[in-house]
Amino acid sequence: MVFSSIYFVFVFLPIALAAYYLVPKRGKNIVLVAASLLFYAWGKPENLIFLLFSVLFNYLTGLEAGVLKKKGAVRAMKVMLAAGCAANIFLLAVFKYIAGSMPLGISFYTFTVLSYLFDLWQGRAEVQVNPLSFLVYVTFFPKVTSGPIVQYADMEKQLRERELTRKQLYSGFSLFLVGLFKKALIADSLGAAFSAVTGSSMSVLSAWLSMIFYSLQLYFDFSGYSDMAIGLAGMFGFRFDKNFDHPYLSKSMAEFWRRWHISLGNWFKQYVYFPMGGSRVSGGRILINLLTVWVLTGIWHGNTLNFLVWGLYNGAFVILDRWVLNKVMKNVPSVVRILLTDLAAFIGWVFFFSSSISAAFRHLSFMFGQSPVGFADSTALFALRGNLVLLIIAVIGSTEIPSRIWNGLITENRLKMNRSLATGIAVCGNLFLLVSATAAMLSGTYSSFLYFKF
Amino acid sequence: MLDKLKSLLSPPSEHPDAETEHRKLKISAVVSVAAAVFILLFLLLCVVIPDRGFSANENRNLAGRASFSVDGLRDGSFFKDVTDHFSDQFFLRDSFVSLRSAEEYLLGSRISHGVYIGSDNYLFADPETPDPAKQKSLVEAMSSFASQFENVSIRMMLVPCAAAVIPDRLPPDAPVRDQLRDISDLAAALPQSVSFVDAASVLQAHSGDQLYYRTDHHWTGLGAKTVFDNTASQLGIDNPSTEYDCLPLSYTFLGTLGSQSGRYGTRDKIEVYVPKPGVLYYISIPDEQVTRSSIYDLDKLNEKDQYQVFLGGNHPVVEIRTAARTGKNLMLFKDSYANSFVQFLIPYYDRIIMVDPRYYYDNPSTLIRSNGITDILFLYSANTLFTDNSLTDCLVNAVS
Repeated sequence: MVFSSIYFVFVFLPIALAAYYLVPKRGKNIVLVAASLLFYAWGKPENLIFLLFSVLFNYLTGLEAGVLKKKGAVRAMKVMLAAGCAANIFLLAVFKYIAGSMPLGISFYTFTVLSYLFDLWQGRAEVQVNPLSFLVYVTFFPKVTSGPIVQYADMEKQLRERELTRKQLYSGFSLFLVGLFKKALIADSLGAAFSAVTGSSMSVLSAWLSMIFYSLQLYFDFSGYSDMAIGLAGMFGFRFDKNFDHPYLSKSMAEFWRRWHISLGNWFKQYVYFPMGGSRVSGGRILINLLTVWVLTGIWHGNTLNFLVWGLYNGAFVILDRWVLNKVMKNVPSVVRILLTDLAAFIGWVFFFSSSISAAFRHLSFMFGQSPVGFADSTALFALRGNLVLLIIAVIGSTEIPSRIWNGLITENRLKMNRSLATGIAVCGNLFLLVSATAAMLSGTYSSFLYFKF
Repeated sequence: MLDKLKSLLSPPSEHPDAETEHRKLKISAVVSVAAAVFILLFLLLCVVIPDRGFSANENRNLAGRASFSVDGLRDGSFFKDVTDHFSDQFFLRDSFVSLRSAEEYLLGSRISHGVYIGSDNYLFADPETPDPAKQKSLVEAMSSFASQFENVSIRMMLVPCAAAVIPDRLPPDAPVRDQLRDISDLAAALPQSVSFVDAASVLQAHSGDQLYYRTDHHWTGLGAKTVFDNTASQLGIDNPSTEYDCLPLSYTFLGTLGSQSGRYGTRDKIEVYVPKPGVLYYISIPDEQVTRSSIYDLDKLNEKDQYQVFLGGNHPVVEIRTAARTGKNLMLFKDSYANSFVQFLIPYYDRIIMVDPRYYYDNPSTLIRSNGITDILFLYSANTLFTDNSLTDCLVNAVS
C-alpha cells in the first residue's frame, strides 16, 4: 500500500489509529506490528517471507551477539556481527544485482537491520531481547518501504517507552497532510508533465523541461513521502528527524547532500565514513573515504551502471567542494551559488532517470543543442503552457516561502488579523487541499473505457 | 504593504513565546479535527451508501465487494479487489474526478485524461498513429478484393477527426499528429480500382460550421450532410435532393470525450436530417432480429451514449430496403461514422447492406453476390481505420 492512496487515507489509517489508541499500553506494539505487516503484505503477500526472515535472522544474530558479549568474548561477538552484516549485504546484493526483482523496500529495511548490528558493534545500543520491539523497529509501516532509515540507537528507547501526546498527534497529522498535498497535488502532476515531454527524440526545450520536471517531481515525491512517514510516526508516538531540509536552496553539492535524504547520508556517515576515519585522516585517505561512500550511495540506489556513474558524479562534486569550489565560490552571490548547485544536482538526476548511460548522454546532448527537432517543438511549448503555473508553484514550494507565510500569517499572526479569521483560513485552506488531493487520487483511478473503439 | 510582506516572509522567531506555542498547537488541533471529520464522514458515507453497478461516464462495471479466497490472499488479488472496490464506489466519485479536471484546467492544463480541451468547449481526441505495416496489408487486401469484383464501383471515404479539421479550436501548441497527411498518404497508396472520395477537403472548406460534436469524437449530422452534399456525384449519385427536414432530437448529449476527460459541463445537440421528398424503407437488424420503419432508435436517447440513436448503435450487419427503384444496391463497409451518414444515402439505392467488420466474421462476398451489389463504399473515420485490423481480415476472408 502507499500513503497517497484513497484506501490508506480513508480506511487503513483511521482503523489503525483507532485500534492503536484504544488498546491498553502493553497491546500497542502488537497493534503496530499487525498493522505494519498488513500494510507491507498488501498487494504482494509473498514479500512478507523475506521481511520476516530478515527480522528473525537479525533478531537471533543480535541475541547471539549479546550472549557472547556477556561472556566477555568481544572478538567472537564482532565476528558474529560481521558475519551477520555480510549475510544481509549478500542477500541484498543477490536480490539487487542477480535476481532482477526485489522484495518491496529491501534496500531500506536491510539498512535498517544493518544499523542495529552496527550499533551493537559500536556499542551504541543494547541487544533487543523483546521480539515484538524488534519487529516494530524493522517493520514499522510508516518507514518500512521508503524510509526514513532510522538508526537503531535513535529508536531504541521509543520501542519500549513512548509518550502519546495530543501535540504529537495533531502536529503529526498536520505534517502527514502536508506530505499528502506535496505528493498527490504536485509530485504526481509533475510526473505526468515529465512523461509528456520525455522521449527518445526531444527538442532542446523539451530536454530541459524534462530534467526540471523530474528534479522537482523527485523532490516533492520523496520529501512528501518522508513528511507523511514522519507525520504518521508522530501520530503513533515516535519522533523521527526530518529527512529533507529544502535541499534545492543549497549553496554547494556538499550542502545539498546534507539536506537531501538526510537519514541515508547520516547512515553512511555513521557506519561507513566515520569508521573509516572520516575527515580526521590525511587528505589522500579522506579522498578514499569519500569515494567509498559515494560508490556505495550510487549502487544502493539502483543496479545499473547509471547509478554508479551518478554516485561518482555526486562524489566528485563533494570532493571538489571540499578542496576547490569552497574557495573559488566564496565571493559568488548566494543566488548564483544556489542556481549552480541546482544545475549540478539536476544534471545528476538525468543519469538517475535515464534508462542507460548512453540515454543519459543523449539527453544531455539534446539539452545542449544537439537536438534533431530544433529548439522548441509543440510538445515542449504545450507542456510549458500547461504546466507553467504548476512549475511556479513547485519552485516556490521547494523554498522556505510557504512555511514562512504559514508561520507569519497563521501561527505568529504577524498581520494582526482577527484570531478566528486566521484559524478559519488555516482550516479552509487545509480542507480545500484535502478535497483536491482526494480528487487527484480518485482521478488517478478513473479509467473511462474507450468505447469508441467499439 | 511591502513591510507587511517582509514581516510575513521573515523567519519564525527562534524562541517563540508560550502564546505562539499554544497557538501552534491549537491550529494544528483544529486543522486535524476538521480533516479527520472529512475523512471519517466520507468513510461512513462510502460504507452506508449502496454500491453503484455501472458507471455511465466510465462505461464500465464498477468493482463490487471483494470476495475473499485463500488464493486471492496468496496472490494478492484480494487486496487489489478491496482497494478497487473502495475507490470505485467512493461517494461522489465522478464529482471528485470532475473537480480535478476543473482544477487542472484552472492551472492552465489543456489536456485531461488524454483529451485535449480546446476553445469554444470543443474536446478533441488525439489523432491515432497509423502503423505502416498494417497499412500496407490493408492496401494489398483492398487491391485483391477489388480485382475480384471488377463490375462493382468501389469507393473509399475516410473522415478525419476534429483535430485535423478545426485545428484553430485546439488548445495552442497542442502536439497533435497531422492526420490529413496520413489520410492523403493512404489515398495515394490505394489501387486504381478503388476511387477515393475526399471528405477532408470538404470538411475543411466548411470548418466554420459545427461539423463535430463538442463532447464526442463523431461528426454531427451537419458534418455528414456537408460531406454528402459535396461528394454525391463522386459517390455516383446524380441530382441528389438538397432539401431536408432537420430535426433536433436531443440537447443533452454528453459524448465519449466529455466522459473521458471528466468535463461533464458541456452538452451537445443531436440533429437528424430526413431528405425531402422521402422514400419508403424498412431497416432490419439480423443480430437483434428486429425490423423497423425508421433508422432512428429514439429509445437510445435515454441512454448515456445518445449517438446510438443512429441505427441503435453498431451491428455486424444492417440491411435497409427501400422503394426507390434505382436499380442500385450499396454495400457499406463501415464504422460508427457511417451510422449518421446513411440517412443521406437511403433515397438512392434499393438496398443498402451495412457491414461492420469489427463484429462481422463471415465471408462478405456471399452478401455481395446474393444482394446484387452494384456499389461498394468503405466509409470509415481515419482513427478507426488506422488502428483496427478487422477490415483487412474481412477483405482477406472475402477473397479466400
